[in-house]
Amino acid sequence: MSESAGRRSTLPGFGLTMGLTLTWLSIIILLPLAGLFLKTFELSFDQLWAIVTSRRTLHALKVSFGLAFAAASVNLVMGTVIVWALVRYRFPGRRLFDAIVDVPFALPTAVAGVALTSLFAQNGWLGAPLAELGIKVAFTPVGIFVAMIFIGIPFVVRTVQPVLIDLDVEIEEAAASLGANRWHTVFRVILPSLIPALLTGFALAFARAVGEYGSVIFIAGNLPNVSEIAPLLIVIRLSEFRYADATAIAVVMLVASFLVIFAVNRLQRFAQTRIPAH
Amino acid sequence: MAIEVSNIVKRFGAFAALDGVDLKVANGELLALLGPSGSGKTTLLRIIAGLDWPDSGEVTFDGEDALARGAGERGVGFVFQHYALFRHMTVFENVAFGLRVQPRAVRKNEASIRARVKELLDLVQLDWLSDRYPSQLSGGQRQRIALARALAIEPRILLLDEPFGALDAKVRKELRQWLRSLHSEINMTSIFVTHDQEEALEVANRVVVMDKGRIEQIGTPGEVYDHPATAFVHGFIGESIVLPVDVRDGGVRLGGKALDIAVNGAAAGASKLFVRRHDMQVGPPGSGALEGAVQRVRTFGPIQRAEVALSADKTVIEIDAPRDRELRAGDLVGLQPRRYRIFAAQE
Amino acid sequence: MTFEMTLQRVRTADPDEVANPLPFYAARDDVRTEPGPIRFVVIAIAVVFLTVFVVLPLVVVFAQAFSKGIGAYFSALSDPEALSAIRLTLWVAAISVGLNLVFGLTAAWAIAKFDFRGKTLLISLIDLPFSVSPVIAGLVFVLLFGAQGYWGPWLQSHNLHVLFAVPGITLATVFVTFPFVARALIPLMQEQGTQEEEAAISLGASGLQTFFRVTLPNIKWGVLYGVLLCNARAMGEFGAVSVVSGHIRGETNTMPLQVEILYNEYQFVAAFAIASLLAMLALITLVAKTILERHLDEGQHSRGN
Repeated sequence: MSESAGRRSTLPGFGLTMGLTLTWLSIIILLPLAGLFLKTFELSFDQLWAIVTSRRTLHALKVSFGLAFAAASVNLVMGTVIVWALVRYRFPGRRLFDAIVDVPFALPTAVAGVALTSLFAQNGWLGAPLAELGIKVAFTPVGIFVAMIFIGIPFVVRTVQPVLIDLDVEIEEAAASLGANRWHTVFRVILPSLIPALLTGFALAFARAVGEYGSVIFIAGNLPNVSEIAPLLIVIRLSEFRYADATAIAVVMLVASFLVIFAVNRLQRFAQTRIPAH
Repeated sequence: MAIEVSNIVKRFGAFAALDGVDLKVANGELLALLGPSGSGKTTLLRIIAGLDWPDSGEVTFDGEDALARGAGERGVGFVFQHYALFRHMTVFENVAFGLRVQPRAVRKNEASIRARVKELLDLVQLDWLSDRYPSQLSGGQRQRIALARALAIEPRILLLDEPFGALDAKVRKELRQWLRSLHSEINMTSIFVTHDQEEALEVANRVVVMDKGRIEQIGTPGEVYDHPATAFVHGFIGESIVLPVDVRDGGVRLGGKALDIAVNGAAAGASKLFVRRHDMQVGPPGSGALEGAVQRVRTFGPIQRAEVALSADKTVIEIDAPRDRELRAGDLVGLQPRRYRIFAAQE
Repeated sequence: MTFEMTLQRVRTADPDEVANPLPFYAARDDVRTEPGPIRFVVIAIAVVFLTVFVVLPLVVVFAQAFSKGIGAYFSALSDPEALSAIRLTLWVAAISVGLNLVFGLTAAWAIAKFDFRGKTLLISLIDLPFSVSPVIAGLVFVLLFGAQGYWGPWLQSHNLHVLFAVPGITLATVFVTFPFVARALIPLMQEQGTQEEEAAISLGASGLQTFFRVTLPNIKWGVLYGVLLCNARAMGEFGAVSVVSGHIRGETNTMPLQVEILYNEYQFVAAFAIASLLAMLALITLVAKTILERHLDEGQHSRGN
């Protein structure tokens, strides 16, 4: 009689690998997370509220979230244009441009930060002509906006690209044969089917931009209440040993980001039921 | 090597993949596990192999408890439905694998391994492919390499999971015959799983018909075909005509009218009459227990297949009749079941 | 007995194959695309945008780095602080990649080859560092090890330094690069299934033999891919490391931090010289990534089954 029958797996090593995985996960992720939660619960709700609604904090949050939203929106539109050109058209250098879409993803953030600042500074290659037009980019919120656009470029493009590639030609041919002109076909048939992917890309770009530090702090003015981003405020509070404040801001950022992503996911699922994916 | 399986139960959540299965496999026999999807045949095979474990029950090989060992220690050669050849190894390395991973104490030297691999590749007649990679082989070739690989470790039993399922019809037929002759040559106890009854009946010494986790019948192909034990077996194997009948007062009634056929010990109540298509004797009207009008006739070689609408309840059945007397649409015929079974309607 | 022999052609997908590609000069009235001028405008907008936002910044890095000539470039790189930053970066990256490689392999094996409840939760937890701002990643370690952190006093009394020292930097880097190898391997191994491993086991191989002889060769491109991305992130990480590092020159500065310090001191050539190394790393990573992706796609199409 085999007592060992029952919960055995064919392949060996489950116990060992699972154990190692959980151990490492606990040490590197769960433990630090626990620290964060502990710290958060040390504060009473009133204290949390006071920290978060202080003028400087509110401003920093507004700057981070507001500009991230704007930048992600720009990336939504531009990303669509870019992915359309890359997938549907052929032009000299297409492969190269396709490859460089990933640069903002691969480039270390500090490098991006100093490069963008240098580019858009008053005496920079792009900053100088813009200054002639009276537009100041570096060390203003506009600079933050520009940096956030930079880092969000790959998200919409890479999320939408596989969906657009897999799109069935016959759908467009059917629309055309039914009398739709090209405008209709693109805006009423093709783009709607890309909406779930577009929303996902937007959410990813937004989340990334909100939390971005390295690419932004060089080009931002970092003036409190003007051009200070929330991550910078966290760093400042930490250096002042005001751990509680830093934690409060971090928690608000996390919660708000998750809420936005959650909302986008619901929107996406809603869109998917109305416009089934291919 | 003889195998004995006792009262195996295996559940996946609420679903009973195997619901109390008993089986004895004799040494050297070629056994088929036959059944539709979900019948539990693959689960049973994998449990015998050691790739899955039962919730309760016993499996013994020549009297020894097989469940005490893992798949690598049971001396089982397993051939997967989709071959599972190691894609990054050549054919030669695939076949040699089992020999190379043996513990140092038992392992043969390189020369012996090479000789054995060559021997096996000759056996499956694919020696000339030994430097190719699996992706460069056809489905039939891959299956034979998978077999050679399984045989390399000199297993005590050979288990094959739908070995020809992924191949097209012609290759399947050829490989079937090849497997049969291979088995007579090596005479190893072998069990294979299939959902194709033609395959099971053609190849196996004995057939185990399974449905919904239980064994319906075990027997030789002839027994299973000519003497099906349950309604399921009758319906699954060969083509059957199934008529809903009522057994009452020692007689059989179809559509309210009495049929002139013996009850043969069937229990009273709502039942089903099973007759093979070719077991219906065709004669002039009145010559048989059933009567009907021919709707349509198609000829297949030596037989003619006729669709007949029964006068009793207007159901249309298909019968196979020899071509000595030609049937035409519109003919009235009498049908007498030569051989039939009556099973209770519940089964 | 003879059998028909047919060789199966191995089909590799051409990654350049795109859906319905049309050159910008193609016929105007084709129902499947937009009129020529519109195509031109769309392409122009895309190209200009990418040039302004991606190409120019890259060029600026190198232009600034070499703006005072090659001599100045190399002397900036051979500055002792620069060298120490490079050394530290390499060291931290090596540790992070090494540890997360082992972790990635074990996690992928546990997740891809077995069934258990809570798999989604586990994968989400592994993905966590991805969705967290780098500054918050640094923050959590400060909360644990900082002077006023939970273990701060204990560490101080034992004269152990985690923050403002290499261990802290390593921890923060390990945290942010945690998911890379696992994320590359899990879908790959899930897709490859368990059949080959089961075959190996049934042929008598032990667990380790199965892993090294059967699984590893099948996932080698995935491993390289994960290691590549993990390394790129490890070397380039800024936010998290900045928080825990203390910016002690010559000791706790990685290359990105050194770039920041030099830039803030207006030593532009030096800053961009180091930045150029990181930029080159990024470009090499992208090239290698493209090559590896090609191998991974090929593997998908020439399944041996």
